[in-house]
Amino acid sequence: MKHKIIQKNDILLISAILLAACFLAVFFFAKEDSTEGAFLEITADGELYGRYPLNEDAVIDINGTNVCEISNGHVSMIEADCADKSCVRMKEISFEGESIICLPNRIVLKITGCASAEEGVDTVAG
Amino acid sequence: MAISKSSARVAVLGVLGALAVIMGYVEYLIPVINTAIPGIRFGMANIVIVMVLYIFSYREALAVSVLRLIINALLFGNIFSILFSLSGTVLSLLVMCLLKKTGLFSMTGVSAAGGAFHNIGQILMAWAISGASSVLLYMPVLMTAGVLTGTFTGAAAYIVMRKLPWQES
Repeated sequence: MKHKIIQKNDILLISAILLAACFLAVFFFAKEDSTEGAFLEITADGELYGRYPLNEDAVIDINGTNVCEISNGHVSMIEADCADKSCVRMKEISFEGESIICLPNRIVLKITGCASAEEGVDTVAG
Repeated sequence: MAISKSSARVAVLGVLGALAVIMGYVEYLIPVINTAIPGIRFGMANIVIVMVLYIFSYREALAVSVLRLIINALLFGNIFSILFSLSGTVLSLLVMCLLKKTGLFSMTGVSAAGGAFHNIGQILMAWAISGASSVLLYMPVLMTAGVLTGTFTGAAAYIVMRKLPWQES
């Protein structure tokens, strides 16, 4: 037979494929990090005010009128300068599509999904 | 000796085809390999496919593996899985044939790449059918598994080939 059972080229080839698999893994997991989990999308006066990842706790002041808090992936409005405070009384939100709305100040807090809408709560495990 | 008579070709291909079918069955009998991680199999039939590729050519290897898939699916599996196996087998054979043609690699290397591309082909088919790009996340794991099992099956094919009277084509 022309070749031995395994030779230098084969080891190079096998290493190359293993390396490619490692690169793919790193690539996928890096991508996963940036897209995984949901975001809090704040809209004020119909314009996007900001996007905040849900996995980082934060207290966000919105135009000086409202303050919302991200804590353990749950979002709630903790302060509002309006009269009724109905947004403050609303239950905290954490699932994609849920929202808290402050009508007097025209502020919408909304949870948006990861990269695409299809990968939300209803995702079928691949 | 090379196999030149067409009757001898038919006989040898028949024997090897039957062996490939049985290899697929033997694999089902070893539970550890099949249940450890879903979708990962040892690919013992690949031992025979690689041998056919080396004794004959791409055409015969394709014929034997497609026949094996159909027979195995009818006997032990389900028809739907043919789609996945078929995409894996065709891609794997294509890659193995091209690598063999370069003359740079031994059976072990050719088979290792074939194992990896077998799984890549299956994932691509799963992606095409389900449309969910998340199946691609399995790629690194399945590529690694494919290379490892392919290395072993290739080495096994080499060892068997050395004992056979037929030369590489």
